[in-house]
Amino acid sequence: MTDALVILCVLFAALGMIPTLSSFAQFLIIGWHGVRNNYAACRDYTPRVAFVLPAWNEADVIGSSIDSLMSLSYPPGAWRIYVVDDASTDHTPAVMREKMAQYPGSVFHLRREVGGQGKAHTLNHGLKTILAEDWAEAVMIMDADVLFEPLTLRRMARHLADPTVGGVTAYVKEGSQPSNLLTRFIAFEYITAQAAARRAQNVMGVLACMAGGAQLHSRANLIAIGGAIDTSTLAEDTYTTFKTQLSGRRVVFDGNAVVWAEEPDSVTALWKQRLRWGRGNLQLSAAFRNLWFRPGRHGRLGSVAFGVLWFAVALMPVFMIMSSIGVIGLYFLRPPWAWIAFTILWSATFVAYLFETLFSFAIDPATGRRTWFEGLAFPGVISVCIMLIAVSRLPLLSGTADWIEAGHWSWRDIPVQLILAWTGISTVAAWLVYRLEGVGAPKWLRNIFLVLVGYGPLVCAVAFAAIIAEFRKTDLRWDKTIKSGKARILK
Amino acid sequence: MGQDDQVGKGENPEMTPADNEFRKLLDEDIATEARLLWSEIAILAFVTLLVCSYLIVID
Repeated sequence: MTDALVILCVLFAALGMIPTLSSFAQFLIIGWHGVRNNYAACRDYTPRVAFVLPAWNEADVIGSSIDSLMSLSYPPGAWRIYVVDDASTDHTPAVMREKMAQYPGSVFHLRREVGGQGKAHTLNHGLKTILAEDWAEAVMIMDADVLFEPLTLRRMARHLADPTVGGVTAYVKEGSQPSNLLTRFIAFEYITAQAAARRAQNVMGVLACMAGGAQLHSRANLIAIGGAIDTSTLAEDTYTTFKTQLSGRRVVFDGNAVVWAEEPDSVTALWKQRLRWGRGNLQLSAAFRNLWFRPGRHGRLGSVAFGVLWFAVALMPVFMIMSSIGVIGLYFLRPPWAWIAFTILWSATFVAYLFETLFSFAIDPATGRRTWFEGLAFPGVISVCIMLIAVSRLPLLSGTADWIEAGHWSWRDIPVQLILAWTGISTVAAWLVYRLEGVGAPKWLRNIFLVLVGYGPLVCAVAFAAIIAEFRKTDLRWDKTIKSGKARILK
Repeated sequence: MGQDDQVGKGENPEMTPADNEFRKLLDEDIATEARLLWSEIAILAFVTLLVCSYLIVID
């Protein structure tokens, strides 16, 4: 019986390595993007592009977004902007009247009189109008607050010269000014989650998600996927990405095409946004349940490698908690094994952390310079200290591991158990950081705890909350992230 | 990457300014991707060296 439990604990502890190893493997193949990319298929192609901007009470940001779009470096008259106003109650209509007068024939205001159904419904209102006319050869789906660099559209459109490409996405950078600790964490996260991960996915020939802030579709692709965005999940951008690839077209990430966006500047707002994303991804996992781990049936979406990558992220907190249970279980059942498991887990994590952090700084040096501290503190200072304990092989844990056999208990065992179970405990600690902000604690206090616990565990905690919310089938609501026009294009 | 045939040929006199701009942009981006490849090799070599040194020291 004990042996069976020990094996189970070892298995649980090993499962905790899945997110670390899949992320590390993804980083390892990024460099190959220098050899295997879509640039050889690019041509000087500048199709007529219709931009669709869903907007609900975006008066503070919509004007600057339109101005940035109208200063694109692209053939004159070859792009139009359609703002789909989701029954805004602020002065968005007044801003739109002003912009339509400023850019006649290029900016259009499509208003829904009844709104609040979510981004997908709003987008569909615009797509219906755009596809009813034959002007647009490509459609850019974006967010109202996103700012385009002048050459971004040109960089994205060139990929559509290849008819096998159905959609192209850009690198969304966090551009809030002034920045704060949280927005800098997000800026660093986007290097790893977009500039790095999506290059790797280009190499794999399968993309998990075209960023909702900048998705360029060929007209043929949009028509092939039904001419509308799915409204049944909270992850409409990912759903569209899957549908595109399942319809036989490729999607491409161009890491040199950059757009800038304003991301949440409080933990509460971040939690709301990521809960929506997390739930959306779980809904998508269920909606495409016949796709996973079926190589050969659904192209590369069904490959084992992509399935592992997808679920390593979607179920990351589950793996983390299982790992903690495994190591703690070994501590009670076979103490020396707990020390070995701990050392292997955290040493491997340290190597992955070192490589991924350094390489992330190299992938986007400008953002790396702004976010070097957040990059180093990304897993949390406590986690970094535990990694150092593991690689330094201090006898902190092995020295106390025989307490059960000795039949006595010491206060020293509590920190030892906390360290052994930190992968799981950090998820709870991150939730406490979220609650701390919720009860009105000062920002400096929240920041101290955020740096100690880490941004990574915070994202993990939201993913866990999303799993619980989906399991309990709690109310599905579209919670829009409030934007205040703080995004800037940073040089 | 399909660009080797362009090396050493200079600018094509029949290329329009738009062609040149496209070519320049593409070359820049291809160079960025090549830089990432070499950065990765360098960082990987550095981390491998650290790990090997560590393993030798603790052995």
